[in-house]
Amino acid sequence: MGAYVSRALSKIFGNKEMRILMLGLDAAAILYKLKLNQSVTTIPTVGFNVETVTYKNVKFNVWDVGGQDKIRPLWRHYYTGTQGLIFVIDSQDRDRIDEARQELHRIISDREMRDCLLLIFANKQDLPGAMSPAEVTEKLNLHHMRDRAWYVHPSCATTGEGLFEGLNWLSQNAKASK
Amino acid sequence: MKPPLGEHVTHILLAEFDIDKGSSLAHQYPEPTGTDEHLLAELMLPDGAHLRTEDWTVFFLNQSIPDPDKISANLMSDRSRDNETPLLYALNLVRTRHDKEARRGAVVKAMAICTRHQYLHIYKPVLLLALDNYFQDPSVECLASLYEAVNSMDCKFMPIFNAHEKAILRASENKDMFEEKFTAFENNRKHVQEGSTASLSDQLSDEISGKGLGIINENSEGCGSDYVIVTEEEREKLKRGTYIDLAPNLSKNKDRHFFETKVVYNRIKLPIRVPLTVNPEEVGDFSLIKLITTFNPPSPAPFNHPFHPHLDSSGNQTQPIILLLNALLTQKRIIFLGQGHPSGDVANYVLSACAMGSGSGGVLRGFTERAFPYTNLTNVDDLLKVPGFIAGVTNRIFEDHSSWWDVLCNIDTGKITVSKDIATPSYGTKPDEKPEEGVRSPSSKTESWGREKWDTADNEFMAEVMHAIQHHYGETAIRGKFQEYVQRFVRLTALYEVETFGSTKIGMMPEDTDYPGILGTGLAFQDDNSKHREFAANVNRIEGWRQTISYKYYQLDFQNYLKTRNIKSFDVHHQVSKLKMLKSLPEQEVETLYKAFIISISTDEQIIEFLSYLPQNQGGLFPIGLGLLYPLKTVRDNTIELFNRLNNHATGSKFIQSLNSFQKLAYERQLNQKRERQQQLEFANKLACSQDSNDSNLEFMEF
Repeated sequence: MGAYVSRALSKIFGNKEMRILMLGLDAAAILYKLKLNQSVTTIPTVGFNVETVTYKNVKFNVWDVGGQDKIRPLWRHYYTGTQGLIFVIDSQDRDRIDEARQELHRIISDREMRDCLLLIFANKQDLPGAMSPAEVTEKLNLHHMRDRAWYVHPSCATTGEGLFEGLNWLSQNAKASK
Repeated sequence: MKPPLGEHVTHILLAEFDIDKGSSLAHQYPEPTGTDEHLLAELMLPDGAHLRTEDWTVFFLNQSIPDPDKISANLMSDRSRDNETPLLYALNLVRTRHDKEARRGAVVKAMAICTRHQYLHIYKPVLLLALDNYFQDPSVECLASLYEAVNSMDCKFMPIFNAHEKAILRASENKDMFEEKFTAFENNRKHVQEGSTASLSDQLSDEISGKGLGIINENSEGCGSDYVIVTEEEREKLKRGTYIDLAPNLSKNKDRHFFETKVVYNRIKLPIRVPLTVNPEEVGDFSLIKLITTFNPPSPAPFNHPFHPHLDSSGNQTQPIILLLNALLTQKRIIFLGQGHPSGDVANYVLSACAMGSGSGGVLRGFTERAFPYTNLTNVDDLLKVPGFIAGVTNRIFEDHSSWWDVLCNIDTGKITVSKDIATPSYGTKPDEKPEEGVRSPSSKTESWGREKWDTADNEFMAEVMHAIQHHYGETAIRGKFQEYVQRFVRLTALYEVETFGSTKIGMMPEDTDYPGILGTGLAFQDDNSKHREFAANVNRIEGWRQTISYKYYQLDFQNYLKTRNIKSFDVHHQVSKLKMLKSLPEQEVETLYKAFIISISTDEQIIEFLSYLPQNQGGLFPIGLGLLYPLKTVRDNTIELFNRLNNHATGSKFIQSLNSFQKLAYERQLNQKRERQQQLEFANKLACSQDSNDSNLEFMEF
């Protein structure tokens, strides 16, 4: 009963909750930058981090899951109920962008992820020689992705640049999809 | 051939978090455990370990997935397997050290001790020191020196108690209950050390035989003619010249529920207290009270999940703790979730739950082998293969996967949730097998919630438990209550089987005793009404339990007990509870009963077994003492005779000591009367010898 009331209220006032899965290098740094709005030197994550970030009346439950090879098979357990995937790309690391593409396509081809929004942070834009968002888009082969809302945004985890714009896109598109 | 595993500790493990590779196992000493290295590393470095400076975890190794169908057939092969790869308990400490020098500012390392001992918490101090050392000097030698230190712990003189002795000790606050078992060892050790002669120890064994504790009857064969109170002075006299005088009596204030020893690590002496009363399914130093208070809200909201016959034994008014207990008994998949908690927190809840379901570890078994005190997603595929697992997790993603579990207990909110995906048993055929009235047939899903009257016995039980907790009763007292509760449930199931199917393998049948017609067996009830009420309230979970692994184990265990018990002629539990509850037993029955006591309780083992059914925290010998004042003289005499035997037994005499003063007086008075009568008799005999026959006849007539 209470759940219905709060759901009705949130419709009126636009309070939404979104479950976000964030994968990729430096995801923890981005998460704590979003949460605390300060640059924290993040020590390596054992397992996962989960934090709630509220931005423009949307409550984002953000899960940051470790990305070492051995534990990647565990990602699938987080898919159910996930509304947005944030995939963090190290724009400076051209050697591993192919690997990132394969991994990304493997994730979003999962049945549980078919309705999920895709936000890509082309991170580390502050570093020299970083790939541009357009280059990242191309390298990740996103133009062939037709039946999914996706968005590539430049970001910098240390300064926080671009992070909230990314969230903004997520919240707006989530609204549209409902 | 493989070298034998360490006596106390079988393996020491070390894991580190590698920024590129993730959790990795660095060392296993002295040899690999056989468990997958990646899994070990994941268990040793629990989720969120980077968020706290330290975290204690417990996990188990060598768990096999129990197959309910093969339990009876494979008992023997199971045992041989146990010796090669015994179930191991691992105590793990993980620490995060912030270090500016290190890459990304922190180092995470974990060390684990794998042991066969359930009381693995004794290793906490030494593990703390060893991990510190490893941070300073990361080498395998560090593991080796720890391995050697913990395995050289001296337990040669540690008494091992059997189940009956443990039951007596657990129920007693008496610190010196089994003193003699220790002193014998301790003196032995002194003799060995100082090369004393054997004759001294002989003298000593008299000293510690339990006499000289206040009341003694020297003439134990007769009817206790010499009844003396030994004064302090006399005792001193007895002791004089014996060995005890020479050494300071250090044993005076020792709590004999523990064995005191030490581990010397890096020249540091760490005192260790090994608990001696641990039941088979009790692992670690969990708190059952904490489990109860976490999940027992002050004003429980009614459950609103669809009725489940196994879980909702009191409908939607079922107490949360009872629901959890029902889930444990009927082998549901249970998860304890503590999002953001140290893994040690959830582990303690899991260990408590194992103890609760198994009747404080002393009634049922098969819970710890299905327990995963801490686990995470790495292990989820294996976890889901285990029927009725009990697992602790710190990742709330488990909550979303409601198909993985049946019951989820959230340690933050104190809320117990029943999964919407839980399987509901069908009782399509069962009611047909049952005779007569419908009261006893398991209720179907539909009739359920609307039922007006639910049995309130469970709610009364929980009220009693909560009352005890609020009045600061200790952990042992609360565990005792749950042990009794589960024991009663098992006996009720046995009776249910007898009434429904004609026989049972989990309870005593009349033909297992010498007095089938008169003394009876099984659970005793005030009257038939209360029996039927209890059946009606329990039938669903009884049926649930009868399908489980712990039920299969109990069948085996009980059949084994029937073969090995020392008192074979009657059902001790049944008789004790009858004496407690039923005020007017038929005279003939009481007479037979006390005669049976005299016939079957005489050896040390029989006395111990008998006393284990008379826990001191439930009045001890009181129900038996009722015989002291029974109208029939034969009953009174037999009671005195029995009490004399007990009083000559080291443990029995402590039970006599703690009789209530009313019964104690009755016992002493009747002993005195007997002694006087005996003296008169002797006097008369003397007269008969010295005087002529006429006189002696006269004396006899007078008598």
